[in-house]
Amino acid sequence: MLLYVMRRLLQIVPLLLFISALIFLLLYLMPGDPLYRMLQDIPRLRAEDYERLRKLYGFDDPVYIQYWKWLWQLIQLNPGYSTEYGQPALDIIWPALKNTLVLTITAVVIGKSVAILLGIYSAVRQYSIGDYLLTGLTFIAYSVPAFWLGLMMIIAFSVKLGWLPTSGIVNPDLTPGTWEYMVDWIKHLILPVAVLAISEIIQVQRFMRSSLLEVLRQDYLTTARAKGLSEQVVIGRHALKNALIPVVTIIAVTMPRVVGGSTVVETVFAYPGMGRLLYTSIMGNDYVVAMTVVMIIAVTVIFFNLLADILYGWLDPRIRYQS
Amino acid sequence: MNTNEHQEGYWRIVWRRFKQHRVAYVGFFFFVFLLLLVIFGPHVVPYQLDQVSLGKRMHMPSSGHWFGTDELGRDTWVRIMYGGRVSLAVGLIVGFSTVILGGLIGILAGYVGGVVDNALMRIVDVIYTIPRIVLLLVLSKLAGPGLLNIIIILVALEWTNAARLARSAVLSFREQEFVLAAQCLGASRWRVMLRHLLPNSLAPLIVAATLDAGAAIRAETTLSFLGLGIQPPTPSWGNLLTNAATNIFIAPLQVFLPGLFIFFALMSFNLLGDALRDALDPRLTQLRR
Repeated sequence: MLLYVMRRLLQIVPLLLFISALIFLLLYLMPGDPLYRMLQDIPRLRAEDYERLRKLYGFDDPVYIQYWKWLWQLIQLNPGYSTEYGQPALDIIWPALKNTLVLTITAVVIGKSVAILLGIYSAVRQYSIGDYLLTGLTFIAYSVPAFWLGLMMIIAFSVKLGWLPTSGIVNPDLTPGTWEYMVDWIKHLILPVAVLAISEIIQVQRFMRSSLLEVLRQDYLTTARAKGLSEQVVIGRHALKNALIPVVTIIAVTMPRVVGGSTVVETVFAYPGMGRLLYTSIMGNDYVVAMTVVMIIAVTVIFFNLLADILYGWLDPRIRYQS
Repeated sequence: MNTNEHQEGYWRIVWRRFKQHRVAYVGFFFFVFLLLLVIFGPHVVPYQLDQVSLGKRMHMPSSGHWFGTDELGRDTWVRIMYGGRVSLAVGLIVGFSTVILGGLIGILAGYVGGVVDNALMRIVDVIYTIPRIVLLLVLSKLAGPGLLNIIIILVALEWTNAARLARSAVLSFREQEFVLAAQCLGASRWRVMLRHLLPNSLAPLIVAATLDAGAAIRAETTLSFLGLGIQPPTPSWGNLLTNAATNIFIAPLQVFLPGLFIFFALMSFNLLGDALRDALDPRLTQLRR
């Protein structure tokens, strides 16, 4: 097991290097360098000055030199300055990450627990009206684009009913720490959390259902019932333990979204999180921020993929990795 | 199983099982309905795509304008129908292309193996590891807007599904007798791949094509929503919806309608994909009486 983990960790390094080089190259190929963006606001600047500054900051170096310099700085956790805001990139990213974590963790906790409960219900009552209804609903919801769902919720709860705000995280007029501030903050969270939670439910409910159905067919449950155990104990203690194994790994694989946020949902609700930052930084040629966000997301994706594989082997003794 | 019995051809079995599938009917009906609608829909009303009429801005639906009008008084019905042609075309073209490209790459990787397989599958890994939204944003910004660019980007990102499916299919029967027989008869590598391996891996690829078409429509509309997809004046369901979203407080219906059609399209492709998966599943073939 340890050997397996070590080997996987070793494979991660070239993968990360390759991804970083690829993204760096793609952003490098984009029109307009960061310097140009920074100097646009200074009309006195002449073309010679621009060239001189380009040389000074090394933007005329070959791409691999630029990549190496950037990588070396990133390894030292100093990704550079945002050209858009003139601040260290990490100072821009931290607040966005915090906002996203609040949003996604709430959505994931609500969404995944509801999904697991609904999945258990569907499996235990297979082919009941409730099961058909849930299966149909998740199938329908699966075909609904997230941004449309968000906009429909805005129409219903903000435009028509006027209950909830359409965008942002909190009304800037309120003072932090007060009761009104908290209420307003939660009101801003409800719609984006709902959209994200629904997409979580769609993905996990079906999975939980089929996983539990698979387990319910097995002989050891017949044995448990034959021993005279109540249905609650049979399902809750004996069946769930095994049925949850694949669900846990699926949850681990989808966890990077907690860090990366959802560009679409955060755009719909003008929520200043990581997904929105990824979008605005790429659109605004703020390469330093964009690269850092992408690398943070890439690292979490790789980490959780590895975690999922390890969890799978650890939770299910029937699976053994060859080292 | 009685081998003397008349053997039905594989595709006849598939067709029979597809016909028996209720979900397939719904998906198929939806798809044909949408297709006919976008083909004939614009011609049943007396308006042009860009016929501006400033006296009738953001009207509610009426007998004259079935879906109302947009912020320039253009007929929404006509615009959604034309937008549907573009969006559905993107879906179908991307669906077919990803399967052809991905299928060939997958078969090549699975059959040739070794370095080729390793290199191709690492590329697939990289595309899987980088979140889709990152690649979509970066590539579409790099390539610039435009119908053809969007199609190329979507194909470049979505061929990976088909490649994985085709590869695993080929790996499962690479060593089987019919391949050996073909090789013994002196068939070239390409002949083995195209005449023997390709037809046998078609089943998962057809399902992948259907689901990829839906994924392409979803991706195109999402990109359009983020301002990177197909640009006006070319209408697509995505940019119609985005355009209407600025007036969401005044005319929410104009946001609802394009989204409803996106939903119908995604639904029909997903239903078809599901039904085809059931119909094509080779494990079920052996269960027939």
